Amino acid sequence: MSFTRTRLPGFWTFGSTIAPAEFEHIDNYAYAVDGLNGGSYSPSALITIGGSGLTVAGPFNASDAKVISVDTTLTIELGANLLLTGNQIVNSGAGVGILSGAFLTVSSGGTVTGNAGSIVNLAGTNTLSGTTTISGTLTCSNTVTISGASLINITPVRSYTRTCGAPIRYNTTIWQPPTALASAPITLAQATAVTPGVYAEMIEYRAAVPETSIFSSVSVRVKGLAALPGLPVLLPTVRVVRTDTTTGAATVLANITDSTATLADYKLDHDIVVPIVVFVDRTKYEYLVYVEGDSGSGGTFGTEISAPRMVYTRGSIGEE
Amino acid sequence: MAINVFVLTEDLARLVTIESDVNTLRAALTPPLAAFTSDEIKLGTIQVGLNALMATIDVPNSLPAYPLLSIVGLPGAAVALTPDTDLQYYITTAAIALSQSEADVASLALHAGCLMMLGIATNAFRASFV
Repeated sequence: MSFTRTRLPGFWTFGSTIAPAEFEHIDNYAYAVDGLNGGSYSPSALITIGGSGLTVAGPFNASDAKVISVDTTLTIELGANLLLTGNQIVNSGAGVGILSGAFLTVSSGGTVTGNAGSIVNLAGTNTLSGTTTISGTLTCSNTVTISGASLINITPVRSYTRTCGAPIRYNTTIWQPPTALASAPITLAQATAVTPGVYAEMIEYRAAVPETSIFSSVSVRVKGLAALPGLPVLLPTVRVVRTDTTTGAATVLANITDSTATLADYKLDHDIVVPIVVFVDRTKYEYLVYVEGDSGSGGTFGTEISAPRMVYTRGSIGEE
Repeated sequence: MAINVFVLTEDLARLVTIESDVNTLRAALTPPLAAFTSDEIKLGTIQVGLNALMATIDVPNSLPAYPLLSIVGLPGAAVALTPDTDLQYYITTAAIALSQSEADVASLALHAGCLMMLGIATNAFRASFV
């Protein structure tokens, strides 16, 4: 400690002789902090401020990496902010508590990352209202409830696409038979358009999806006649039906009509995609795809239908 | 630990004056300070004398020539005084530096302090003393 008294209080009496050494000691004020003009100081030992503590009414800059140590509580008062432009590290064994009524908000563009080996436990009620992507393994050891109008769309990375092969049933007076491979388009052959909703006007394909797979969609490529003068009133429709092989009962799994809006687009190759989510059980059901050509006013021959392609993923069987 | 400080008889009257002056000033400070006892006055005066004794620019070469009060033979008597930690440290430091006993250093410093407090000497020691 540099600052000690040269003489005890009261010993600076009028007329007393002052030794040079006493002035030398008093001149140690040169090491004092200049409260008027400021300056830079490098004390050789720690400065400890106890008593009533320290208040900094102006900016406070700690330029060393480990200079702020708080033994009890660091409080950021209401209306103030703690702004981190670097990283905040919470040491092993320490915790960050968000108390009742408090909240943690990640703004647009912000990211919360849990690195490999980390654990996140959510024991309360959790709501995911945005788009959620799960790229790792998801294990549900309890009941998963999908309610209301919710839909499960399963688009696995390892999905399979297979054509439905040649049609198993079709009206030969209406549809030209395929002359080449099953992937070649079939065209309407008659001079007038088909009558909608009549089985005979449809082409029927068998969806030979493997047992224990998840049948996720069917797509059919359609192309309107090049010379078509206008968009048909009734555009092609694709229907996926599951038929009980014992009772013969048929269940429409999905039914999608071509949604092309313009004649120009209708004359180009385009797909009708029918999304389905169903676990395949070939022991009980047969899965069939029906395709109906365009009809009504504007419907005509020459519309091309390519063999439907089914998309499925292999997995464990599940109850519907 | 108490030090047997040799107080010159001639300094007793000076110490009375010093005690009066110091305590008057202490009472006038803001806030007012309690009066020192006679022993505290002696210790404070030793501190003042040590300030001059330890001056590195005030006749440092004559330090070894300072005679011991006990040898000079001036009348006086020993008084047991117990300095606080800081003053004890300086007495010890001076004793080591001067190769003198702490009692001799304290006695010399007390006399020097009396002369300085009353403005009698600028170098703290009477010319005939050396």
